[in-house]
Amino acid sequence: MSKTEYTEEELVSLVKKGDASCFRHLVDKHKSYAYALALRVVNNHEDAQEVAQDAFIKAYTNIGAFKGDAKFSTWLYRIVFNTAISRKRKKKLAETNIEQASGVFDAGSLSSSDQLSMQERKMWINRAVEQLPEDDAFLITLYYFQELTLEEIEKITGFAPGNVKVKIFRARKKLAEWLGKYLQEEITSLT
Amino acid sequence: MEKMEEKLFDYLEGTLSVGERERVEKAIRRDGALEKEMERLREADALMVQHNMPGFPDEGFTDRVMGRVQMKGARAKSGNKLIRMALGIFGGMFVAVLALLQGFSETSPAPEVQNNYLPKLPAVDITSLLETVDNPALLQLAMIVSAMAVLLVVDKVLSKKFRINLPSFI
Repeated sequence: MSKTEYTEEELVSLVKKGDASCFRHLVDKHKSYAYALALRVVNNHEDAQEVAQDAFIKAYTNIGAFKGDAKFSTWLYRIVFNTAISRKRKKKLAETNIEQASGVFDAGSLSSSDQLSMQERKMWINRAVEQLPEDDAFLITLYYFQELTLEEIEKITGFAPGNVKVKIFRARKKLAEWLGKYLQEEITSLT
Repeated sequence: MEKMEEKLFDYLEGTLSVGERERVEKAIRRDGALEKEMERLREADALMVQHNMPGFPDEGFTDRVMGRVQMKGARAKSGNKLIRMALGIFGGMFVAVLALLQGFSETSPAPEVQNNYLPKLPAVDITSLLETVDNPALLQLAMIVSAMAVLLVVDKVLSKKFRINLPSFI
């Protein structure tokens, strides 16, 4: 049986037994999500990469503390969240705002005839998410991963049940406002 | 307000019962602003689901993480090795000192130690054993070598049985 065929639980158990090479598969599987989540908090590519790396190293070092009562990803994303928040607090990264962003990319050019590329749309979405407070940005990113239940999101973020729904709903509203403002034509063409 | 937001969240998720969904839909139809807002939310959702993941640009990420994992493992191993080596040396020295003291007491009277604060070492009476061999020095050497061998075996067994991850500062 090749290591790629192991389930996540089996891989975790092998890493716990000392087979460090199995950790590679866990890193490969979760690195994009870990990076995406870190990016939502630190808003910077280099820092996000370092946060994601540090989170994986912390997960490896403390794998013995992972009891397996939740998914490995739930546990890992919690580490990513804490690592990103503490890094952001340490570095006090300067936050950009949508007005600054529009100086780089002229929002006025978004007429119905403009065809935004995938890359451009992504850029605008990233900028819109960056406007949210860090915990809302993290929350909304987790939510749109579409692989986690609300209970899992609660576990990762530590927000009270019920509160998560309201927070996600409000963050979605803010996002929709910003996106609507800048990408109105594009959004309409998607639906 | 929060209850309403929770309801609208559940409505968008499609997790409301038929009756509740109908009530919410009625309320939305009555409120033009709310209707527009829900439409905007659905549109934003579609866009976010499509583009939520920022591109992950670095191909060497996994290798870098694994490099750090291996470094951590190597550091822990060399830390363990150092500690085991130090324990072995101290153990060997302890046995050697015991054996030498024994040899010393064979050739000259033990000095009177007046310090009451010195800890009392357990007395090892090997005189009867020493009397049976011609060369006590050889016996002492054999004792040292066997003690070292025992320590080495214990060290091997322990290191295989317990994988101790020492802190990275070692």
